[in-house]
Amino acid sequence: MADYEMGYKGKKCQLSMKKLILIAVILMWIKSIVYSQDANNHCTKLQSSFVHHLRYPKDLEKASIPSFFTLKVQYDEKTKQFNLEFSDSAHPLMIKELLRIKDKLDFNVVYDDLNMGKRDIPIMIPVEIRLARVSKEFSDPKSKVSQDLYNFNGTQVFGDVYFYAPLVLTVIND
Amino acid sequence: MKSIKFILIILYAVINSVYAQDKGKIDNFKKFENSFLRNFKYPPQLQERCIPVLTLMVISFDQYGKINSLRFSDSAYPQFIAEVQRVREDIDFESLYMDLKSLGKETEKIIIPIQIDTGVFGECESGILQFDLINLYLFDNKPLKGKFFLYKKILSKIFMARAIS
Repeated sequence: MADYEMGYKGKKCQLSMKKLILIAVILMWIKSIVYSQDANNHCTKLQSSFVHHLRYPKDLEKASIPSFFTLKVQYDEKTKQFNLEFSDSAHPLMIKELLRIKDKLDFNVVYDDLNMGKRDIPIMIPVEIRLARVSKEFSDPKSKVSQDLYNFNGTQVFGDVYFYAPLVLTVIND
Repeated sequence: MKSIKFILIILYAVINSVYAQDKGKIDNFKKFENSFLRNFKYPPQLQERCIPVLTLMVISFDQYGKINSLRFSDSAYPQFIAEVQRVREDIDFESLYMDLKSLGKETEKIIIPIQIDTGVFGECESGILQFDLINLYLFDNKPLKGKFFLYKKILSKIFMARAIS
């Protein structure tokens, strides 16, 4: 009888151990959700729709040419639309591609994230399409990519702007 | 006679205002840029290997026109930052401050993009790598974010010639 009781007690103890582990696992899980939400702010929302919809132009991928340029976003109060401009370092094919997925990108979150009450100042979002293998041509001393990051139609942006975290896509080309 | 006088006065006013604009706007940035490039010696370790400078300088002033903070994005090499710190006192930041004040932007955080190409004659010439561009918007590994005043850039080329031996 005593033995049985002992066994029973032991079992009870085991059960509560299991429960404890379960609680611990749940706690860790909740913590990870809260934590990932923290890192997963508006920025990655825009970033994930960018990564999800963008197809890097095949010609650029084949030629191993990465893309580095600035997307200038300006809100038009009258039409309630976002006007996009591309810095002079953007390849025409890449401009075409971004315009194709334009409606999939929700820029409202950017304004919210930056706590902008008025939407009168342009937002500069760097765009980086990184390639695993880059052609030598891209790093040629005569390349104008880095000089044209803030040039739009030949003139550099000069004035108040908001900068936002870059939109990044890494393409494994071979 | 009256109309000639009138035309002369207008001409005088126009010439004067054009001159004043010229002096006030363009000179101060040029003065700052010139003093930066005149004092800055391209770090030999970087020059020998044809490594260019590509970075964002973020600067803010206090209410007295003294530098509050001066930072460079992560694409700047330590040798470059050390060199700027070495010549910091000789760089004419005052002209920069005066220019900002004339624009009413002296209290804002200022971004000055910097690109200085380099090379050794007959040996190598620098080019911008993907790696440099990836680190351009990072400050201590965090992406640049927020309101800034985007200013003119410093763009230059500093080459070295080896002595014939």
